[in-house]
Amino acid sequence: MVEQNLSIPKYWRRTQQYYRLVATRCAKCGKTYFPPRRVCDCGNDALDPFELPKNGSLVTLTVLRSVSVDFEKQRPLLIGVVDLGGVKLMGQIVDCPSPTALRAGTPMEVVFRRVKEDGEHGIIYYGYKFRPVKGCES
Amino acid sequence: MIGIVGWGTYIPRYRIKTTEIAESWGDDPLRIKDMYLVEEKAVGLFDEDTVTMSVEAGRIAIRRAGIDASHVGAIFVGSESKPYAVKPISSILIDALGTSRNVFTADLEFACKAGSDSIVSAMGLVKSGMVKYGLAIGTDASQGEPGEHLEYSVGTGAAAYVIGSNNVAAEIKAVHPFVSDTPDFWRREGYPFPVHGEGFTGEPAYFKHVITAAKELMTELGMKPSDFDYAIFHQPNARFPLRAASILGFPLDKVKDGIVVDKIGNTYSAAALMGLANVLEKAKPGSKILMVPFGSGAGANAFYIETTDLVVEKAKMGKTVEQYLAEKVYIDYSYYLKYRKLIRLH
Repeated sequence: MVEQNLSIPKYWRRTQQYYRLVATRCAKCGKTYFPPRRVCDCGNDALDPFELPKNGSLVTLTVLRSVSVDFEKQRPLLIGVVDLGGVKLMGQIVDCPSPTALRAGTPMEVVFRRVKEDGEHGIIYYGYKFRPVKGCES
Repeated sequence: MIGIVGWGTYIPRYRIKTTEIAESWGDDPLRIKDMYLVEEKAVGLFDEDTVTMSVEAGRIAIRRAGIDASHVGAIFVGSESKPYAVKPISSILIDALGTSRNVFTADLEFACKAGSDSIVSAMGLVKSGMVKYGLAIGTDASQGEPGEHLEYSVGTGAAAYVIGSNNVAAEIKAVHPFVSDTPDFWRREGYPFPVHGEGFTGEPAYFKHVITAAKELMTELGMKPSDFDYAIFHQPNARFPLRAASILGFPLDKVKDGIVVDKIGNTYSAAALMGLANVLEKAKPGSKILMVPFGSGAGANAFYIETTDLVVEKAKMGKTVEQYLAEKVYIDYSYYLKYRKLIRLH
């Protein structure tokens, strides 16, 4: 039997947020939640789903050279915080071999990529990452 | 009127020059460039595959179509480089694009022809009234064995088309197939790289099928090359489509906008469809287009397409092939091997 290390149900339950950045907004007070929530802090349980914008701007980033085993062949790993219409989201930054070109405020876009795979036989996890809209020239 | 309501493409940002590959393997770089007329090719990062590229191209196609994703009633994806041997790309697209769950879906394989077969399949469902819109995609991130000549041309990309009968930007007026059992190129199950049936590559495969399909379509329609404004052919390299055009009697001016292989390599199931996107993004209303995708094994579909008044406006509604071509980061051969996972990693 092929060994499977990652939790498929845990991933599958979140595909809407991983694939399309589906958030929720409280119909009463307007508060936005990502990851989506079913009950608002104000107590209201009527929240509407909506997709976050696919363009935003960089807030901050860091370059990781010591990374977990799933990502060690992708070093260095760029992890950034990107502001998507007021929602600040952390994620991997790709297509940018020169991170020194990136600054707070750099326009970023959401891209759909492979995030993880469970070895050679297991499931492939897809989801969002970010990249600079205009390339990565310094 | 059945035709293209919207289209979108995806080309990865990284590029490698064919001269860089040739130098790594001791081939004469100028001879290689002259042989294939491929300047550079697009290289997908390790996290890019035919699923991710289909999503990106599909999103642009739906935006250009100006429709809600929930109106898409069919999704067909043509590819010979699926991430899973068993698990469809098309079902992942349902959730990634946000369509409804009541969608006819299938992944198709016919070497480089399957992207165009996706269009034909979607056309059938639209024409029969079973769906309002069908999404047809051609995408590949295929394999070229390091050190083998295929490595000079194998590229990465996707092209997506929304097919429908409302707000059509380019009417598909006719399609004509020509297929035979020809052993020119194949990849066996479980083997990572494809193989050429040397005696069958070129004349008995590509040229016979492309030329015959094009000629039979023109005969059927009572048209000749001078009636068309553009001709687009499958492009495993840039020499083949140029020669096909020459055999059929199309001047260079009518072929050049449909050739992108020189800048991104052979994107297989997306190759001719990528050329079509580039043409649609430059064409005037009323332009007559001949497109002939080809797939090894072997077969060709010849399309007669005519743009409408909407083509110019729709071209502005999404990222163009020209924009993708301009956005590039060059990498050397070591990064190419790493990004395409050609180094065996444990």
